Amino acid sequence: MISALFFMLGIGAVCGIVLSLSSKVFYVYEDPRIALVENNLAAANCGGCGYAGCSSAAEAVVTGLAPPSVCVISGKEGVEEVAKIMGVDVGAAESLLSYNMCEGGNRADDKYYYMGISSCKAMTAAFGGKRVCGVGCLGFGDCVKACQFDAVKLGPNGYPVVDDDKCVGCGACQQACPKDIIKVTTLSEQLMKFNQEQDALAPCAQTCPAEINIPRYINQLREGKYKEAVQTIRMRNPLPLSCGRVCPHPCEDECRRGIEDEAVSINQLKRFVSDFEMNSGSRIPIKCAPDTGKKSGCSRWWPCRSFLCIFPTANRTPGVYL
Amino acid sequence: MEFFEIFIAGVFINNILLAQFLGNCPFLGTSKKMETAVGMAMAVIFVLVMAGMITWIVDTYLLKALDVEYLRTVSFILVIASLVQFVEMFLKKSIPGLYAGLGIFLPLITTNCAVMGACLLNISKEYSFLSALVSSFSYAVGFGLALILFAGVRERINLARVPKPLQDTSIGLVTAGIIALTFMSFKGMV
Amino acid sequence: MAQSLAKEFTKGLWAEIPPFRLVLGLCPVLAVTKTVENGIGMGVATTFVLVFANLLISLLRNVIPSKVRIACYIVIIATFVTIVELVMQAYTYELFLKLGIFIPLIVVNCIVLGRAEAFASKNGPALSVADGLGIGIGFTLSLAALGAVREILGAGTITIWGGNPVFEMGPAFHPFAFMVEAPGAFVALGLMLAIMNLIGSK
Repeated sequence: MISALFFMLGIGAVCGIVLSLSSKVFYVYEDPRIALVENNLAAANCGGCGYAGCSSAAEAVVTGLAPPSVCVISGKEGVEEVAKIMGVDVGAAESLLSYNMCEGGNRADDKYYYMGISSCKAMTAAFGGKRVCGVGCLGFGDCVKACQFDAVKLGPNGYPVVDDDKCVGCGACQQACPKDIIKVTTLSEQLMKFNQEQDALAPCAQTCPAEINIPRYINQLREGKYKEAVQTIRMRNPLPLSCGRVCPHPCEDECRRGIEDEAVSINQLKRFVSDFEMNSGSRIPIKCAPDTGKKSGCSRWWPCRSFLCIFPTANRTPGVYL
Repeated sequence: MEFFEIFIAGVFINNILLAQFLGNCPFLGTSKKMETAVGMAMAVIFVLVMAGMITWIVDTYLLKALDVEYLRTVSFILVIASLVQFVEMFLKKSIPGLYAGLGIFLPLITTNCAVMGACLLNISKEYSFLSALVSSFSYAVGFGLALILFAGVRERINLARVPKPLQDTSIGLVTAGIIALTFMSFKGMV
Repeated sequence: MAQSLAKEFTKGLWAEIPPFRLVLGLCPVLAVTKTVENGIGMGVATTFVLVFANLLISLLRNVIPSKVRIACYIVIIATFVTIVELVMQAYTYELFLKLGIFIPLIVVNCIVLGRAEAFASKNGPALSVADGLGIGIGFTLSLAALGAVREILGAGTITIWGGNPVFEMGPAFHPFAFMVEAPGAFVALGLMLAIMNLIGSK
């Protein structure tokens, strides 16, 4: 009995002494700011910042390798808190969003019947995927599985639909897609991009100088979603009422339907939906990019210019160039 | 020669995971991706060898000498928990690279039946010090082997069309059963 | 008070029954369920440890400092496990031999430490005892169920505490020895988990 007591006391004492000594001997100095910064990061460990987890990002901020706005998904308050801890100014950052370019999905025919691993990446290895079109969405949802925020879902037509409210722009879906259909960009980058020959676009969208996503808004019109159609047009062109009346519609010259019988009346549809908004009595609100403090203006020739006043611009700033 | 027999027995015939069912919880948890599986395997080898040695010493020179063998459970678990915490602190300071690789798995191993079970098995088989060392090492290698094999299969299963009720853990367990079946074929080898 | 006691007790019997809903403590489940008898024995031993460890930890929860709390919980649980081990060695020697090293391994059973950490350290003694009792009895029931499945398919009979079989499948049944061996345990548990998921999701 006594020996048992002494034995337990002995083991307990030895363990306690060894551990407390080693915690002093093997003490690793960690900058206390790292823990403070980590508390203000989003703690999702999504990797969108480019670092391996929130602790690595916190370390990078404290050692000066990364700015306080390193976390792409923490809100404004989080970034401000981190900046306060580090004692620096907050940089201005625009939020990233995920944009999906494919409108076809299941409408494309299949080249072959696929019975392999349910993964887009795997199917791409077999002749570029099962779709005849070769650039479209394969529909197995690698992007859906990659998204940790539940923002991407496979729509009814077999291409992904992004929930803008949940999307934080981490870029996981863009990395997962083997067909490069999903792109994660800021609104400014999206607006400033000019369509390239190798982009997977319908001929009408490729030709449109304002680069409106024509297949999308016509689809939305067909489904009766007029408000969404106005938003789609407004993403690239803030003047649908004017353009719907005066645009010479080069898109209709390229419309594939014209090979069969007559081109789709793209311009008239745009006029219809913008008139719908005008007559609805209220303006459909649009999302704005954050204020950069600079002015913008229109600076190119186009027939609609005759309806607008041109005001001078101080310098080239992000905005729609018509 | 005896050590070779012990090694083969520990890795294949009496595989601590597939034949003796010890260490299932981290098995199902860390086998979803290959990187975590490899990290966990390394950590288990590291800890089990040291724990095997120290618990053997405690048992032979303290428990049996003082005739308090009924305190085996309590003393073993205390020693193992303290050892793991000590190793964590030591690695963090001295070998940060290794800590980055397997540091997060170390707290997972503290209350792992595999470590405790292997130490108790060594005692029940009444091994000498060197045999206990070889045996601990072989159990750890067997655990790592089973874990890595399973992780490879599981990564593929995650991409397959599994019915909803069977997803995740259930299909994992059934697969583990099939792998255990293949290991059963080693019986009678030694 | 009585209502919350009842609630804590019953949640361990279905909503959070280990190991089907609360996927913890799988090691003994797979190992001891060769027969129903072993399963029930292990379940009773674990219940004993759960109840008393929860009680003591709950009584001491304000005294134990936070930094050493896991170590303290482990020592308390190990003490009760040693008590159970010695009692079984004295009074139920055959069961003790059959369960082998899994009795001392109750101390590292994730259920026991998990409930101590998640529940007993934050709630009063009565609630902790109810929780421990509920989860323990649920665990025993699961072990008995899995043991029954394995024993019926593997040996064709259920025998409890020696004597005549309580249940027999009849002479036309050929026992499926795979179920009694190690792989059968994994497969049986996996399929039972799937069935629980199916029932639970409905």
